[in-house]
Amino acid sequence: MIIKNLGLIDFNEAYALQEQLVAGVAAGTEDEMLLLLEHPPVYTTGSGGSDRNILDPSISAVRINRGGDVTYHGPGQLVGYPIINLARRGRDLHRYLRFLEELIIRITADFGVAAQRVSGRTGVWTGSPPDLAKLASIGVGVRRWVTMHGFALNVTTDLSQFSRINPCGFIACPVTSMFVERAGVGSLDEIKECVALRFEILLDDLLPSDSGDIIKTWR
Amino acid sequence: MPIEITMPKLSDTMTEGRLISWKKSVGEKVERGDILAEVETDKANMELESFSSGILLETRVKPGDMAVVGTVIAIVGEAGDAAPAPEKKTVLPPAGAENEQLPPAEQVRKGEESGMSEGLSKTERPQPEPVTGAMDKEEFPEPEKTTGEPVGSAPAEAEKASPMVRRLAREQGIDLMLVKGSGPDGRILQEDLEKQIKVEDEKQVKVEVKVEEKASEPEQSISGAQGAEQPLSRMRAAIARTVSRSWQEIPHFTVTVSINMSEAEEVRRELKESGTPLSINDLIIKATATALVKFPQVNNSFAGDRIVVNSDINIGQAVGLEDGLVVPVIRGCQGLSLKEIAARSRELIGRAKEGKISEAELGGGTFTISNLGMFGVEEFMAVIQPPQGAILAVGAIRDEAVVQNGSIAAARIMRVTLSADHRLIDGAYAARFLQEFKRVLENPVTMLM
Repeated sequence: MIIKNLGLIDFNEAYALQEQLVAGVAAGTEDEMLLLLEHPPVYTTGSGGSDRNILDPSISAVRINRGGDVTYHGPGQLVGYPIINLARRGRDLHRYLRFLEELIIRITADFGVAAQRVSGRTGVWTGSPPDLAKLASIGVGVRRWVTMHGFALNVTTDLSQFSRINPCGFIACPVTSMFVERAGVGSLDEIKECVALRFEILLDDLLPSDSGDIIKTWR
Repeated sequence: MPIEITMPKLSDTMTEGRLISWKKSVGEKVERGDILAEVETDKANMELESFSSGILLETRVKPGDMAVVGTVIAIVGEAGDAAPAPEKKTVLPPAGAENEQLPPAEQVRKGEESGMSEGLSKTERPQPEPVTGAMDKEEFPEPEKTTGEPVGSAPAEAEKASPMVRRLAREQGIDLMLVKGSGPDGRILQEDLEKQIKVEDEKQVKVEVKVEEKASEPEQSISGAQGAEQPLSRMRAAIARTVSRSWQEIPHFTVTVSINMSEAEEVRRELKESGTPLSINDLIIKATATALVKFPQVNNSFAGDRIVVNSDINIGQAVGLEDGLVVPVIRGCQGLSLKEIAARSRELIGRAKEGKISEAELGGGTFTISNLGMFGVEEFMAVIQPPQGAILAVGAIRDEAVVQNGSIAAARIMRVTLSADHRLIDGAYAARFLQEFKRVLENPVTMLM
């Protein structure tokens, strides 16, 4: 497993890099990888997303091969793109999404921010129903069982940008950040480091590489 | 034959998926490996890859619509194909259309060929084996390039039959040696083959009636009473033939032993912590090899009028795939260290699951291990793969109360059951083999030396 800190990187540049890495991991020529980065302001939408969720007509969202609807990326948001070979880890997309949620919940807990899952609304949320706010978004694309795209955790993100869209397709969905939840929370770099430390251990724990055990995927 | 593309199950908890978009339009050519569609479940999108080549004949789900897992969402076939034909015997599959669900039993049949019926195997060998999901494109020519023409050199001493008939025979698991040709020069025609298939099917039904006391009705009328009939897939047909043959011919008996795995688990943990990845299964393979060295009869094969003494210990392990199973074989286990076995096993299983295993790696096994422990199965009995002499069925490791030195203690217990061919192996010998297997696993340090 290789973990790369790409710093601030243009969305399309990171997208091209992901495409290249996915091909490498699928072919077995690249190790599994986690890219940690920030994007300059950009709106993206999943391939099944609806344009009606883009409220401001001046926005042109990049349509990409991930699940979910429109979202915003920008400075102060920790973006993680794991390139993981699920063919070796149980071939279960839902379990992979639950893993990403668990990772973020543990990371935010490390910095004193309590967050949770909400059944049926993939992502990581603060508060309790009905007063939920979205702290992290998740959207994944899979090609030959290798993952791309991933999660976006708001640390000090400019949340006003979300008001121009229906985040993840939910009307007036409140969005929050770690900074809003707890002023003086760790820096983005500290959080990145924490993700880097936790990622592989949790991955192996929740989605163990099964090359050693037989008939695991027998259905 | 048109291939049905179904909504894939992308998670144990996935019941339906949303079709996001079609990446090919109806009428467009599809190559194996092309992305056909994008499918969404939860917040994850999967690019749906085609495992066959042909033409996208029909899409049955519109972008944005949901489809239940397993429902047909598209049809891929040849230009002349209409809707998928459910009747297997009258429809000749045009070369080029490969079923996505391919039989794992080719390697089973390979096993038969290796020892028992050299004459039969020769007739098949010069031809390309059907492409199974486990094989690479590179190793096996794309079927459509072979349309109407035999691949490579025509079989020299084989029976006369058209490539179409050969193909059908392979798919149905019929040996052309057994088919009487009614064409010119004894050429085997499609009708001859169909007659033979009928004969085999009738045999099959008779056997079922014999074996199952309650099976008073042949299969057709049972399914008829309940509604729909389903043609046997190639995979099911091949499995049915192999296991029926095994069950009819091989006098199975079973011996079960329980093994305290506490120390084996400890060794595994320690090795793992010191950077040597190892599974319990690797320990089981190593212990099997060790026991087979001491009790070589268990490694023998039965060949009708003689016993084949296998000098190599080639252990196959059943690896489940999404749509079947394969049994990759680790060769020469007698000379491999635990670490080597672990590495080889890891590599083979990894490739088996990615469908990148070659047929050579699936053949030549002398003993098989089947492990259902991960499903919490305590113990079970497996059916021997002819011509092998035995198969080991491995259950789960569970906490159990055992009496040790007069007091009750907790132990990590695993039960294994050896199915043995009584023509090769006697009860006491099988028991001693298991005794040794148990001794090794309970003293796992011996495996590290």
